[in-house]
Amino acid sequence: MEPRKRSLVALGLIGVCAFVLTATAASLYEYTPEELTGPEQPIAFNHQIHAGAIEDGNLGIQCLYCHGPASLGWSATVPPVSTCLGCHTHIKSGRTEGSAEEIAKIHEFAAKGDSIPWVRIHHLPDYVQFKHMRHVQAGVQCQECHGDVQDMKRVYLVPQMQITKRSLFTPSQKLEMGWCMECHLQRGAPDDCAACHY
Amino acid sequence: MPEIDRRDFLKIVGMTAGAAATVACKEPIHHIIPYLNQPEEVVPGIATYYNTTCRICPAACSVRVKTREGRPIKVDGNPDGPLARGHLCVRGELGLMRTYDHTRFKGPMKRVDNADGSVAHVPVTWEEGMTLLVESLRANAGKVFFLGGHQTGTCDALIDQALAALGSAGQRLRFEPYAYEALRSADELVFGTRAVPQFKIGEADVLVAFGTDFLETWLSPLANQISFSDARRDGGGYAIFVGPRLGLSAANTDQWLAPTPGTEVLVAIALASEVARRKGTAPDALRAVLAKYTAASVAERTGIAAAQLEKIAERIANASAPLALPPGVEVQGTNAARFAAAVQILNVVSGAVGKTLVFGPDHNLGELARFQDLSELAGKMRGGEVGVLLVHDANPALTAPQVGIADAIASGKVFTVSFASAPDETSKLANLILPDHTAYESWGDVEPVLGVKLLQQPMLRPLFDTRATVELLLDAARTLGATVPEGNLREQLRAAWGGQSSFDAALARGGSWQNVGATSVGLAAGAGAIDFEPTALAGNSADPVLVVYPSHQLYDGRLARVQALQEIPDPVTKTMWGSYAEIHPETATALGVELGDVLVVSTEGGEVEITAYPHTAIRPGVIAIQVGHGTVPRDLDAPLSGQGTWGREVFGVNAFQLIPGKLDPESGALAWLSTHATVKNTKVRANVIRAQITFDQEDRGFGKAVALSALPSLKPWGAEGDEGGHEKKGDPEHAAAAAWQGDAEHLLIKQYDPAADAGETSPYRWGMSIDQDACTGCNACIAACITENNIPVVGPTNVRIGREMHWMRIERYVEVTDENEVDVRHTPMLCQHCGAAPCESVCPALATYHSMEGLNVMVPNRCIGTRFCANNCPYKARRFNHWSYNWYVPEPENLSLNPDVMVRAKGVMEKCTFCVQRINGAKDVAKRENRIVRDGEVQVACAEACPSHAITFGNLRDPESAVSKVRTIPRAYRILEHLYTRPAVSYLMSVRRVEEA
Amino acid sequence: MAAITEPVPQTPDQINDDILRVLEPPTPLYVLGVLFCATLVGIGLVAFLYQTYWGMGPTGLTHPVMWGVYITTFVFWVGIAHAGTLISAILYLFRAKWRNAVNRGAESMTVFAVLIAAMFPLIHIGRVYKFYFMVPYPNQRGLWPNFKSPLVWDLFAINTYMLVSIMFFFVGLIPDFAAARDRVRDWRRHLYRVLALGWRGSSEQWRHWSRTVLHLSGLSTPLVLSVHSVVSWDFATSLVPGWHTTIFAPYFVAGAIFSGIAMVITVLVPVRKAFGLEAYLRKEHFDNMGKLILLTSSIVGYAYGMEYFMAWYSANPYEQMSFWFRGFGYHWTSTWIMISCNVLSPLPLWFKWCRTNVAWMWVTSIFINIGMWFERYVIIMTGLSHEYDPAAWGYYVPSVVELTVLVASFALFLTMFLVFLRLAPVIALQEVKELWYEARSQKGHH
Repeated sequence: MEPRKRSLVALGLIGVCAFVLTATAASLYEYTPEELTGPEQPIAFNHQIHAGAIEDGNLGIQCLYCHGPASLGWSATVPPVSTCLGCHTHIKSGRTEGSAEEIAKIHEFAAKGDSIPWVRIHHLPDYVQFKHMRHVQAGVQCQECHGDVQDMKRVYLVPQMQITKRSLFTPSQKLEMGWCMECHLQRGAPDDCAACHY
Repeated sequence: MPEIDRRDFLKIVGMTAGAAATVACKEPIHHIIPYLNQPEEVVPGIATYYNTTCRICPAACSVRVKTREGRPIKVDGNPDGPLARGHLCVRGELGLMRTYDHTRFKGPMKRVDNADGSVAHVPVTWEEGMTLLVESLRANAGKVFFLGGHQTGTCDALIDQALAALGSAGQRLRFEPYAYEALRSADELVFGTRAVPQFKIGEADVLVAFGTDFLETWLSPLANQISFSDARRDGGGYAIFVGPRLGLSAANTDQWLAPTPGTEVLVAIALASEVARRKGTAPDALRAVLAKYTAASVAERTGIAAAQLEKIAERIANASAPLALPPGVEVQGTNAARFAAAVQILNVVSGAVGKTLVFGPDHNLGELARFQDLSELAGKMRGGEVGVLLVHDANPALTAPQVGIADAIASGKVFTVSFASAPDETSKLANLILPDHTAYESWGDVEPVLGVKLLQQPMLRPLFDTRATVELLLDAARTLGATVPEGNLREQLRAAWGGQSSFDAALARGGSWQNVGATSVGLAAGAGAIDFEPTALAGNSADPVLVVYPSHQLYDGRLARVQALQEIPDPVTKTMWGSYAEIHPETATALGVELGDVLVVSTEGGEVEITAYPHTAIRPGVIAIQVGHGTVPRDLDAPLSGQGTWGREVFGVNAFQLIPGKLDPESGALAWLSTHATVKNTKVRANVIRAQITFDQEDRGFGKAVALSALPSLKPWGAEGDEGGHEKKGDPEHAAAAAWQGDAEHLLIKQYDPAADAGETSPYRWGMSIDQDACTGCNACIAACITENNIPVVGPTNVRIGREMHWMRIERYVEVTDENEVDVRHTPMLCQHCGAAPCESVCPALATYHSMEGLNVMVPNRCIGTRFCANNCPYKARRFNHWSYNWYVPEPENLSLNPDVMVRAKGVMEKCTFCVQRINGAKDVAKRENRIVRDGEVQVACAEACPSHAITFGNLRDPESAVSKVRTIPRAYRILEHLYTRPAVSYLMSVRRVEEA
Repeated sequence: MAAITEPVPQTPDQINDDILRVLEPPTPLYVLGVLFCATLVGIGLVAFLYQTYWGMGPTGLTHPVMWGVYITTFVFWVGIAHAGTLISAILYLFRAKWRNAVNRGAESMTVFAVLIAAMFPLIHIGRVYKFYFMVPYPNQRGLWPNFKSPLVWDLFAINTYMLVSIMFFFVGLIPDFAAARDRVRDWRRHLYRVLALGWRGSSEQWRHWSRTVLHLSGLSTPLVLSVHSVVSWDFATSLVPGWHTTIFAPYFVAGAIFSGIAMVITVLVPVRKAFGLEAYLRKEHFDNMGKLILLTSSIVGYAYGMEYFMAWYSANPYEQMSFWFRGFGYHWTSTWIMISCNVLSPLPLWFKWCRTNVAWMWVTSIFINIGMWFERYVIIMTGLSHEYDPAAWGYYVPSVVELTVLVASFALFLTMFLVFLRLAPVIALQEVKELWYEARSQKGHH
């Protein structure tokens, strides 16, 4: 084998290895919340303050207090503005700086009679029929799918990679099917396509 | 309650983005729009139901509307309501689409006459519109005329008050094209009352219909169909049809007499005399006239053998509860009243009166205008006696072209105001258009039958800038200084219904109804003097007789804008998207006409170009055309899409214009059947858009039937000597094929348990049973399926080559019999959810598979579109999305889509899912209560709608379930069973009610 | 061996000259031809993209006929792809020396045809951008294709066949690339240098080379039978009347070889004329191919008859209706085209004069190509149009888009072949040389 050819082959091999390694590394990489932040919201609502643990000086409000329909209907829903005002008619400013302005925005929306155009973060394709109440009634914790929202200053899509038996890599927590199935199979939930796709 | 805050209901669609109709929009940022104040009874994703009234036809059935996040998505019968009993007809199921029609008037418009003589309408503000109206009213005080549709109850009264306030009291017509003038006059002639009685079809064991379309439009078709199926449970009942066409109603009878058109009256009176002779029940007043018309005496003219009439008379005479139905419009000639009288006399002598023909509670049709009144109105308009014409819920320009109202309007003598909510022929001419809400957007009440009061409440906030006509008239009257009741329509209603509490109670039920006792009637004095001679038909007697008949799906054309209804195959001809000239093949050959030839059909009434459609369900020497077609194009700037721009086209012809304006002197009814028509063949070939190319099932055992006499000896499936339902096996003509199939079934069909085809642990195996004897082929199931499962309209260009998307079709098979027996079989065909499904094994992507609950599941989002499954399905139940049909559904029509069902895009297969979304919905409840779904808890859309109770759906693993029981009765069979597909749908043979010679 | 009048090559060098002459700079005519074909391919591509954008709407497909021109053409090209392997592998194993002159052309055809065939299932499916749902690979959904589906078998069969025939093709080319490398002086010699894989023509290399060819032919021989059998199972395993029959596998294989040989003739005759290769593509080659055609044609004809017989004998009304419809129904023209082209048109080849008359062979071969396309069309169309449910009977008319893509597939085939002509010797040098040496040694014996 003449040197030119040998070098060619060597190059090829190196390339392949490099690709495989980077792919693996990328997929196994664990993000830390600091690097992550969700999209800008019309109101800088801070889940940490509202839902965070009380011993940390937060309010520790239950998820279902605002997202009540999650236990009754398909969508967890963002609470109606009236719910916000339930407290914030009295609480005009919080302890973090800038909170007063943000709370003021609620009142503006209410005054204008507009509802707040929150940016959707957890979005399923239209061919998936996901029912929150089924999962809440089955005792699935909100955090299992949405991550530790109570510790988030601004909600983001939690990526976490686990290597599982179902396939080489199950996806990061983008609510993709393999990830749903992982849990469904572990808990003996239905694995019929028709359970979600119709 | 209707009072929920529907503000932002459009925005809320975004909240159920997971399922809502915005499938095509893949914008990078999705928003969640919460309510401002969430109405307490709305849980997003959970449907709420409201009772209201369907206002499509005068029958006014009570319906229950399913709404999601403030938008109605499905209409079904109100289970608690009168008449409908939880079912609905094909028209009602799709009636919602009139509200979601994106081409409705967006707001008030006024007419401008361009220099070139063309007419256009330009939008105006409500202020300007109202001023124009008020001015014209002021200018023409006392010369205001209100031309409306059938209107009863509070709104009716309020309109009268408004007119009175305008000094034009009583100047009003309630016009319907099917107004039963003849019947009312006949009752006067025979019983001395103009009331329209109850015809208790459900209790009649022998039914004789004289051209009565009692399953299509006649009186209360839905109630008729429900009671008709009651009468015929398990082979009961017997029905005879006398008329020129084997229409939908006729096809469901057992015997069809087609006398010479125009002489049906003779058949009626002859039957009366024969029955009277047998029962000796002829009242003295009638002896003379009855003696005059014997079966023998009319045989010559009617072309019906005396023996045959006597046989039928015998049957009626021996019947315990016979009933004869007065003529429908298609046989209504210049002797309409006398014809109807003959039928009523038949009812008298056969003892039906007081038993199956009951006066009280009467149909509330007394106020309906006679056709004559309309022509008089036209005269008044020409004569300048009418200054302002207010047209509401009526379209005389389409349905009564003979009287020339259109010309009168166009003449400009009359200032015409149209309250139509969507463009139609009349509003096109109007000087001012003040669009009304549709029935599902507005308040109202109606009293279809005396004593039955139904409420109508808004299901959604008006989609466009429309106003309730009644309120508007009252406002106008107020501005003109008149004193009319204060408050909006809702307050008026509340007052009329006796205050808040009773009003709310009524709202919750859908209305209030109590039984009005029957009143007895006697024979009128003049009854004996009626002359029953048939009247001659105009035109050259060599030409075919023109029969114009009402449309089952489009009624009189008021539903022509509902494209889904245009696309559902006509139950008889199986044609879509247009009207056709129906002729008997013999007549066709005589005229040298072939399928698809464009004919010029002309009478003194008018002339149309129409495509020929020869078929056997019609009497030779007759040419029949359906009304309701040829209406204004739906959408003049339809989006260019995969479906083409067919919204801009006109489909079919307006058959009304062929009817000469002759009236029946007694009743003032229009003589629909009054002339021969000259037919000229242009030899031009046009497309015939049809769903089925043959009505012969080639003895393939799709629609099986068993003779009534053989019914007792019929063994259940799998029992010894099971003939596999081949009642024709003995018949040498069919011996070969039948023998092959019969034997094949014994050879090939291993005994199997349909309930076994599901996961061992699953408590369910969903299955269905369809009773072909009950099925009338009325298409209500298809309509329900369309609305429930977001089935797109694909348009004529695609339908013509067979791309319709309906998940179920009703196959119509006509068996060759002796000319009198009617053996038309309706086989609803849908996915059979086979236990050994041929489609499942061939899909490379596993997009279709057998679920744990025995469903044959199709997963469109996994489908790559190899279409092998469709090829391999022997039932041809699978439908392929050749285009992304639903992507082109314009606002706000997309709001009618069902969020529980995904919207399929191009390139994927789809099919019946047994309404899996409903099954899962029922399981939501069951799971919460920690039990399995009970029988009857899940109702598939088609079964829910079916007015004939033909469809039973349920769990085959539950031996007590209705469907498990039905499957074991002897009439049950499965289609193409010898292929060993193990179908989960079983059929019950239809019963041939003929006495074997 | 009568009536063989072509010149006979004098020396091995002359053979090199004659055959490698083909590689010399192209004539304007040639360039025009390539451009024309390429344009057609472009048009076809546009049609395909149009269809991909709108969905299957622009095609004529409808209920109940869900497979149309695309699947027909798929089966057709798979069939064409058979000649190469048959000639190269099977005849090689049978030591049928005459193959040597035609096998290179046949092999190239095989490769191009199978490449085109492999495209058609993708053109045919409703969502080509989701085709990978068919492919078994570990994925986040944890879903696998349905191995029960004949379409998945197809996937494997076609790909295997494609790989093996490409290998076979390339190995055969190595020595000729070397020869070309030593002869050509323009940019192509770099290409040839790489492709020749450092071939020096040492006896060592020759020995390895011939073993490889032998083993590869052994490997690909079963494929000739397997591929089209699997393709036939797409139909045979279904319920459709007219498809659901056991004779499909042999019937399809015979048909494939039939059409393959025909295509070889259709393509090689013009080449022979254009490059004056009469000395190498000799009449006895056409004579032999004619015999092969006769054999396969009679097998196919027998199959046609047998289908009708079984339909009648089974007394199965669905089959009977389907076949009545095939002969006399809506698509009767296609059926009779098929029969006359495939059964009647080869009959004259029973006479040697016709077999050795190149023009006659060429015309016949074109008829056969047409007939074999229609055979698949008829099977698919008539089967689907009249199935079990009379209410669901319907018709199918191909649309412009479909026909454009069909034409484009032929254009693509020609383009590839023309380009190939310029890049590699269309006749296998070393094998012709073998022939030459043998011929000379035989002379020596006289």
